[in-house]
Amino acid sequence: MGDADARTSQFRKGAVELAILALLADGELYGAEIVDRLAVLPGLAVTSGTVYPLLSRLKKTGLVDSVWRESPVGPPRKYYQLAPAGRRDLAEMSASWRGLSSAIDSLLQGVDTRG
Amino acid sequence: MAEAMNTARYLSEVRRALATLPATERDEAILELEANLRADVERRGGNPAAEHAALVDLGTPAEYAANVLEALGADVSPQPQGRVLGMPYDFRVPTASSVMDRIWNPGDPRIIMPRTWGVGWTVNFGAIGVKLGLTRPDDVEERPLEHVSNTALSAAIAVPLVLGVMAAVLAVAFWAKLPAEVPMHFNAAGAPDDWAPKAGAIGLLVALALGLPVLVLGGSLVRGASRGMLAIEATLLGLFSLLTTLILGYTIANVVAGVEGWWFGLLILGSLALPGVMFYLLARSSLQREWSAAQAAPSRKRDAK
Repeated sequence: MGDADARTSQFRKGAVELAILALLADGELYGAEIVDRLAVLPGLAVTSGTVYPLLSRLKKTGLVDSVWRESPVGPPRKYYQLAPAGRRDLAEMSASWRGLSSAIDSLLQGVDTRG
Repeated sequence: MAEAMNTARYLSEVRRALATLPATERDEAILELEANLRADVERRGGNPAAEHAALVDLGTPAEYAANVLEALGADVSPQPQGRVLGMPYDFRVPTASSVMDRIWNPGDPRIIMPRTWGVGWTVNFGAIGVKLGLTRPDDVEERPLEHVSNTALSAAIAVPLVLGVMAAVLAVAFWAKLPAEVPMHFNAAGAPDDWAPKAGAIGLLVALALGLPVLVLGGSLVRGASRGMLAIEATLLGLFSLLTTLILGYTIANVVAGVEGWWFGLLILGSLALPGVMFYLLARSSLQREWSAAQAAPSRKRDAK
């Protein structure tokens, strides 16, 4: 049970990274907005505790940039946007994701999940 | 147990749990978290209940730190390329970030750092700045010195050039009074122990003090180097020109007026303060402008998608 959870969480982190890049392709967002947009997708089941570290990672690897912007209230907010390398990676990752997911789907067809 | 878990305490617990990360990465992750957390709290109403809810969503500090460690993994970090005989070495092409990681890195408490380029160590003036209370460990820019003002950048570029011109003026003014052979090297007591023809020795010092900054900075300006890179070059050349100008001045004073003393070694050591002061002023200028730019930016138009 715990093992299954850990495995799901490994899958999810790779997927969440791709999901963050995909979200940012539509325009810049700040951290909490990213969490909100992903939180409505039940399969991803993310929290700020998993999204922020991934944002740090994406920044470190140069796939996203961040900028400060004034907020209507309170202190400036940090907004994230796709870096050129992120845009390239997104294209590659989404292609390989589609390939992978259709391959796994066809393998899983007919597998008895209660086995 | 849930008594008084506030943002500051949460951040400091995460920081402690990230002790194994390189300092710059740890600071970056904490800054990231702090910025996101602040925006989240403010969006939820900005009151203690909002703060509490935002912190609960993050998980415990230990869980959050574990996520960061996993996300950042063990790859790239400002470590030396390798070591020979215990000495760090690095021959990767320097960038504004890699230079500042070693020379002005308030986020790293180490004062002695592996060199950005070459073999050996360098001084992290940022750590000294923190110890002196002049700067804070989180005063780290993503793109170092990129927001430095025109005035500050011009002033920084003027430092090596003015020093170089001073060296040239000194050489010309005292040329006639210098003997055919001038001291080339001084011992620890400040007494000359090696001599060379004046045209070569004095000419070399002036060429180094003035020629090198003109060449390097001129080249960078033509190439369209980033502001951060220009500021860094100006600072390092400033130290270089100061050293050569001091040596030239001492040589002339020694020959012409018989000036001599061990204090010259101290003067040379003391000149190391110049890059520290320059980096401090440049970093302060850049950070201030980065913040005021953020505050002055027109508030973002939200797309209702």
